[in-house]
Amino acid sequence: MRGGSVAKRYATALFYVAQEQGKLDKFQENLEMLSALIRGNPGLRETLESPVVAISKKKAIFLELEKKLGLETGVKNLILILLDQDRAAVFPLLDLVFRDMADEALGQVRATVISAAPLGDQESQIKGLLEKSLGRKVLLETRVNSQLLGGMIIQVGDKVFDGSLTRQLENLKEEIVKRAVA
Amino acid sequence: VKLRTLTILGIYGALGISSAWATEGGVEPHGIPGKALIFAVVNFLILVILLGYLLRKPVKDFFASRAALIKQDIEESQNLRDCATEKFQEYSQRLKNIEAEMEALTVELKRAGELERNRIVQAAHERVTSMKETSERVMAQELIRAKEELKRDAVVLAAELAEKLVRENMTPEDQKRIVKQYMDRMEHLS
Repeated sequence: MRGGSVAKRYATALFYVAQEQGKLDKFQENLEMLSALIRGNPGLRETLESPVVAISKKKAIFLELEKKLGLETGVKNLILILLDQDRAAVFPLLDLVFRDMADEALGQVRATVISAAPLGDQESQIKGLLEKSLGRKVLLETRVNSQLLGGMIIQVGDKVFDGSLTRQLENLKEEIVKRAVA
Repeated sequence: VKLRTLTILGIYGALGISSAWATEGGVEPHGIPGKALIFAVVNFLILVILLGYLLRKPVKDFFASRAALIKQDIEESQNLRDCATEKFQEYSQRLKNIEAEMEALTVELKRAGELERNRIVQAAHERVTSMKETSERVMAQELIRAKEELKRDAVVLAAELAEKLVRENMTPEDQKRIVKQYMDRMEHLS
């Protein structure tokens, strides 16, 4: 909980800086990139969060990475501050909080579509449908899960719309059992 | 009373001394001493009178209490005798009726035994009936449950078969069509 409030504090500060500079989307991209990099490299995460690795060493590693990533100065400075205060562990949460704040400010919403097979051109149709029904720009993420048999599941925030064949079969099964037993 | 007793004994003592003195004074060489005899007789009479006077009340009380005690003993003996007589008569009567009583007791015991037997048999019948009903009810419930389970299993099997068939026969076109249907549904709902 304490980590949550710390992450929120840093995210809010970064959000105001990004808004001032008119670079909300750029900052967001930077954070997402950094987040994906850390997620994909457990060793890097362990090093940055480790209390036995010297702060100067962590900063040197980060600056080396930053050269290749070309992060915005605001993002770079925030990460350096986090490393200085040995609070690299709050970064994943900070990224999420910032993302929510930025999405809200940019009037966009994130949605995930899980389908049994790749959606192809239907992806854009789904995006359009969601934007139309939600009245906001939709950032769509797609995933494939063959266990669904067919159809798709759409997640928007904490709402889930299950249009998979697995669900339909399950509903059918429940209905038949209910009628057979009644 | 003490004072009076002492006074009387004192007088009697004085008389005794005078008697002795009279004896000393009137001894005769032979025969019965006349004067001494008179004094002795008088002395004895006085003693008797004094004793009678002094012991009159205690003796009377003693005899009265003794008489009461004896009366009480007699009464108790009488009561005991009456009780004994009564018991004797009662037991005599019982002995006379013992045969009849034994007969009645036997009949009564037989009757009680019969009743108890009937009660046990009745209880056993009721228990058997209740157990039978319970078993039937449980069997009926089990049958329903088994039927339901069978139906459920059949449905699960059918669903699994359907899933297998869908998986085997699903084409990309089918997938597109299902997604399209769901999108239409969502659009219609929104």
